[in-house]
Amino acid sequence: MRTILHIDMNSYFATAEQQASPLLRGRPVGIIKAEGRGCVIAASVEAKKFGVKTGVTVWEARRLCPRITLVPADMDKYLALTRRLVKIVQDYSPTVEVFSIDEMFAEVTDSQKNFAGGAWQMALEMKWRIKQELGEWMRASVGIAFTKLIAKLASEMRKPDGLTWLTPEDYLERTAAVKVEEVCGIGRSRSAFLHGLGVTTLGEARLRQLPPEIAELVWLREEEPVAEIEKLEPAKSVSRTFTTFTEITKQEGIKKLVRNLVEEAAAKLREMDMAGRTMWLSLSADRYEESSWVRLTIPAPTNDPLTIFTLLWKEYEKKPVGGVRFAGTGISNLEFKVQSSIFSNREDLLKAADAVNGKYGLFTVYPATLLGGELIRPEVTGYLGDKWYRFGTNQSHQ
Amino acid sequence: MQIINEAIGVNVRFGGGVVLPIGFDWRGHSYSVSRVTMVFERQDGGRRYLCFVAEAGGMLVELVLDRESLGWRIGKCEPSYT
Repeated sequence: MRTILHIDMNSYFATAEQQASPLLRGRPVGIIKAEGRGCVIAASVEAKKFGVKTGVTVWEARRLCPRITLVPADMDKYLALTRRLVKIVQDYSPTVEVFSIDEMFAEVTDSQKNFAGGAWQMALEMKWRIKQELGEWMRASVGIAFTKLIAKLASEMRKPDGLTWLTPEDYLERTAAVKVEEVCGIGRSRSAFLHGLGVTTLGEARLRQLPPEIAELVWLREEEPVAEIEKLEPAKSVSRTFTTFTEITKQEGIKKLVRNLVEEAAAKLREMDMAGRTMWLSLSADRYEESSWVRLTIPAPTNDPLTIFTLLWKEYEKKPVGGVRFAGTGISNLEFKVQSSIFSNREDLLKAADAVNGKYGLFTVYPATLLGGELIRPEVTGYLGDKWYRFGTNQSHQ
Repeated sequence: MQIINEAIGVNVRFGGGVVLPIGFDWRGHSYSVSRVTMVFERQDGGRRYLCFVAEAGGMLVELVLDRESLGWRIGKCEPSYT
């Protein structure tokens, strides 16, 4: 029987801001992407009590909670705390999976035997160390169980700052009142299907004859191994998306935006010492009334932004859009340590630019076509698509 | 917090393998750091900065140490903190 811990940082981004700024503690806080942005991407425990949830508009958040303080997200701060959290959890198990920026699994089946008090004491000590090393306001809920799915559900059962252990003897009974949509794997369409049958809780669902793939989840039978950091797979693609404040209608502005995003994505590729063969560009107007989608694959992999941009833009120009609110670009089919053409000095140029940017900051040197406007800079998302690069053992590739 | 980004002088205490700001001079005034609420790292390209969010003189400030040049800046400030 395995023993797995799921560590879930409570209202992570908002709690981190409350940790940094004690004046915000105990007050409703909403995290927005940037000043002037329309959506709340995370809410504090206090704001959640007013009904402010992730994804609500700023207008709606203010209506629900007029005293809410809106704070722009500071991903460097959250990622630094996550790195510290990973180190704490790794002290208790060599098998740790970083599930997202604020969640991780630890397989402690063997390591708990070396720890007085076993997994329960381990979890208590982890929670204490989180307060000591991340900050006294930081809280985590920990779930202990014999599968990842049940451990995750256990950590959800008592929030904030909870500790729940579900055993093979009691997990079915104790999860009977859990809402079906709270199970990882039961998404919108499966929830809608179950709600259509008049089923809202796991207990009700277990009384029904259900399709096997849903029954597996309802009976919490799914059993996945903990994906160790050391065994993380390198990135399969690199992408960058951006939603503009207002619609860009001039082609020159759209061109600048696309070039900026391509520069960023290509810089990330070079940072990871990778290059890709397939590239895509997606541009949409306000309310997605008009859109453009371009995808192409080239014979030799590249991480040169000029090559990527030129190819994508050439395709885009065949069917341009009148205005853009959303822009996204990405490169896939990735390979390591790609040798570029010996007849081109572009690689030396990019290496020199990367060295300058490495020493003096990103976009210290950038293409002249991006002059005269605000540069869009990289951002980290909570999903952490590049966790292999951030946390994994990628030294051999660097 | 307001973005300031001004070079400043900072008094620090070294000990136990960590550096901790204890006071700084800014715009003709000396401030004592009463509490550091968070320490984290920012990265800009390959350049790394160690950031200290601190309470000082009724303000909340982000003191930034450039790990390469060892120069200090006051990155951000919340003046009406208390």
